[in-house]
Amino acid sequence: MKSFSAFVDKNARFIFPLPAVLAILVLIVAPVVTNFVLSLYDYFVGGRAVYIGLENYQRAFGDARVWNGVRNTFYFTFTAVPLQLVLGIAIATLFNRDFPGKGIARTVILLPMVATPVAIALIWALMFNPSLGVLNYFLESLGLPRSLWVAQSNLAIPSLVLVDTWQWSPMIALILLAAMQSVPAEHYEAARIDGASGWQSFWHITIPSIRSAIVVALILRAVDALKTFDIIYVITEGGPGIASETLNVLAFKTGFQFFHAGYAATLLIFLMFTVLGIAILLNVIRRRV
Amino acid sequence: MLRATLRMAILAAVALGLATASAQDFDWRRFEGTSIRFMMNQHPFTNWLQPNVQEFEALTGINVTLEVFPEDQFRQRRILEVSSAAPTLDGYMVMPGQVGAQYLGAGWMRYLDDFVADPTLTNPDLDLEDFFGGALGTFQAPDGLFGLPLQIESSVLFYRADLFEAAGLSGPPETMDELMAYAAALETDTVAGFAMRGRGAAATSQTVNLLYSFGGSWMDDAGNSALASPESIAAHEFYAELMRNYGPPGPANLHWAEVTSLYAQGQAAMIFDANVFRPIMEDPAQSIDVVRENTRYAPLPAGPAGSVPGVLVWGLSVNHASQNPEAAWYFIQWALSKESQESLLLFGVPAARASSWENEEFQATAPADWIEASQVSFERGQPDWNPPVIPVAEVRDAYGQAIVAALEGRDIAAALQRAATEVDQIVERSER
Amino acid sequence: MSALASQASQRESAAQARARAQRLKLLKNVGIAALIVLTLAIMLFPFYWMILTSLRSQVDNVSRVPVWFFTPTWENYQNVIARNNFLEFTWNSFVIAALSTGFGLVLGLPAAYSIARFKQEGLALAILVARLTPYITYLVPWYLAFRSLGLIDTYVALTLTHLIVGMPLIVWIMISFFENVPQDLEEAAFVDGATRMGAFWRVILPLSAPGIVAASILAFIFSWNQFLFSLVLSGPNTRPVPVAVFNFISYGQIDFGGLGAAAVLITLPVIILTLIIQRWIVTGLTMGAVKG
Repeated sequence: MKSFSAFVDKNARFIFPLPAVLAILVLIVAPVVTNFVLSLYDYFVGGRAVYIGLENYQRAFGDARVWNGVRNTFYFTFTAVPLQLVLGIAIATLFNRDFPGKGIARTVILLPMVATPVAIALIWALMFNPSLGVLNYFLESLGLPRSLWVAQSNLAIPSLVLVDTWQWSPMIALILLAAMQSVPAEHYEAARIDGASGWQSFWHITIPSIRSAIVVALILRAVDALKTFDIIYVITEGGPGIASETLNVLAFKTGFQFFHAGYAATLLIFLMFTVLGIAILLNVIRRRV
Repeated sequence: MLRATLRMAILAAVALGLATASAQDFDWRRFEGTSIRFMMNQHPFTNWLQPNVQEFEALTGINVTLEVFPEDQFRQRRILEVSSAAPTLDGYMVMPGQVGAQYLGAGWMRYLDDFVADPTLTNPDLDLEDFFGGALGTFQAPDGLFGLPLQIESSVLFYRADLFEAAGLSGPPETMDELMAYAAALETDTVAGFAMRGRGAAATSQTVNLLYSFGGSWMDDAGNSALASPESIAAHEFYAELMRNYGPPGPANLHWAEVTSLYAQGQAAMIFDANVFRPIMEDPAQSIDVVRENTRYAPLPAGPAGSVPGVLVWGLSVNHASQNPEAAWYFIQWALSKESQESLLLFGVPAARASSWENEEFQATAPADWIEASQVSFERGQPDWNPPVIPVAEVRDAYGQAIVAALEGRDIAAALQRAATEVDQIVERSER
Repeated sequence: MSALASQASQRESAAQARARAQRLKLLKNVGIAALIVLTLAIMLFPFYWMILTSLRSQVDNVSRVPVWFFTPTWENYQNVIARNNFLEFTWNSFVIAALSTGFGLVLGLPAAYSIARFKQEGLALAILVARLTPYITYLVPWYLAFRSLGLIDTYVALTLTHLIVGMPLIVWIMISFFENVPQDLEEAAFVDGATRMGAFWRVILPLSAPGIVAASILAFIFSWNQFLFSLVLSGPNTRPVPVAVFNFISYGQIDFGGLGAAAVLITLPVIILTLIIQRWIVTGLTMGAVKG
């Protein structure tokens, strides 16, 4: 017993993390490796499995639907994230002051990001309904024309971006708010004495001070937006047609509706490299900032 | 009144007599204490079945769990369990026209001929001959019988007599040209002239009616996709014009639930969808009064090639990996017995047994035009309401994209050509 | 006289200027207040609509012009709970979330401690990568593996997969907690003859209790909300609420009220838990990158 504790003490740096490392090896590393193997097969779940070399990759590069998925993934991400950043900064600025009910307000904006995504998505789907949904009622009340929202191809992704933005702008806001509150008040004081306007001190003091928080928020949001699944699958299932089908949704359908595990694995490898590549890229930028 | 009562009494006595007679030969309680699980589509048949299951449980002592899912998920869950040979799944609802080829090809079907041949397992009252030939036929593979039909279904036109009258229209449209003209006449700011499904893959089971009626087909003689044929292009051009001009907003989003909801809420003057949705239009919790009072039924209007609807057969099969296939077979026999099918038909679902349709109470209560429209459709119907290929889901998905393209005003011929090419590739890959 | 007058008028205009400045400030404050209220209204509206929908009858829910005032009905809730086994699904969700959080703590706490004490940044990064990789990447191999092991539709499969949601979160939140426990305390324990495991168990963990509570609740919420894994790996015996609610989408007609009621029921526990640990939500969502 004594010698066991001594052994543990001596090797604590290996023994303590061991269970977690094993879990990661089995649950994460093994599946990723499996995907590489699967991607070399024409594997129909419950049916044949034929080794086909790199054919899946060749097919993916020439597959218009894959490129549609890539385009939609980027379209969604690079519309949603900048929009959320702008709104996030605006909300953070708005909340970065004392006002009655500040605590409650901060709690309220937490709700969109913690509420169960499936429930949120279903409610938005009801609100989007072109004939019976409440959003069109609002548009009409404002004297605007009714919209088809997710029922029309070219509006499907913008509508989903709207949901994502509602859900996640508050997170950016809260990240930035934390950063803003750590900017020393003297900096603003000094600027005011120098005659700087509110806008100037925002631009020359606030933004530079929260620069690294902005980049962190961007990395987190970009990575999560690239792999958004729940709201897209629940609201549009990638439709109309394939108008809002992202790589993520396409891979899901390929694997679990069409049961082509090999081709799905190939698409997942694509997706994984895309997401990790962008994470690394943004991280490099972060080091420079 | 007295005569009716008397007749009921005689019928009851006869039924009782039959029951005791067969009970002597057939032991319903042989699998007492067994538990079985069936996976069901959220379908009117299931709505009928759920409250009646206790009857089977009391009769046999077999405990039944019904697992119910909306259709898309039902299919997904079913293939997950069937392909993984889940031993706890004993049976399920299935449309042979949809996945028959795939399931048979993969060896996932439990053939029932040994059960049928065994008088200790099969109730002598089963009477396979009583099922509509076309319906039973879909469950007969070269290697044997793999299920029994529970309903035969076809799409019919639902229309509002009051709106027709207000627009100066007399009976239902009989040709596709009339359908277009009527839709135009009925269209207002708040009521769509016509609605049918448009949600990609989910719409293909309805657009096939147009495809057939315009003379098109799924496959040409060489076994290639015929989606880009001139007939098919004409059918989809008609569909797009009808839906874009007189359909509800956002036609590419319409699944059957949206179509029936719009109609039940008085927001569409005509819809074309499965005849099994009649109960919705008669239910005060789901439909507004004017709809309940004024709904009429008619068969699919005729196109250049006549009125050729697809007919669709749902049935029950035993899971190949089931550990209690005999108990599952008992359940199927009970759920599809003459009495059950009659009760199902009275519930509003088009039963697959010919004898049920002769029931007097049914003849007296169901709208005559619905009976006629249904029977006419069954007569004219084409059983391949789905492309007769193994990777059906993938093929429907590819075709569904062309449907959305048509509804959104894109080049229909080009979209169909793309779909046809894709279908051929999918089929070719699946046959490798 | 004129000097006096000009002085007076100067005083007056100074007062006017002050008044104008005050008015401007008031105006600005009103504007800001209006913007804050608008922001909150937008954030809350879908929840408000969810509740409204859950309390209205089907006819009111599909009315072309929204019905804002009505007699609430509990029928939707009754239907959801009675007819659709909602309590069973809730129990499944609870079991899966509790088990995966429990295992997440057992695996994650020692790992986080080790990372904090021995500066194992590589390991921390590996765990972060696990969080950044799209979950669906793991799902196809998992599905094939669980299928061949006969583990589809078992708590085992769902707990293991949900572990991947909770454990990285626990590790990353706890690293900073453990870093903040003064090393002196631990060394004092060693002097008293404690082993490292003993010190971890009796000194470090009790001191980090608030962090552990926050991390556990977060891991629980994330598992509760998880949809993708459960969609593929659950079944009749283990189906959790998000998948059950998803089943409502084309349930007969579009059952607006039932959807609303189900959405309220699934969201309520999450909101209650959020109120308890709201300070930690952003920390958790950002994997500790931002301190709440």
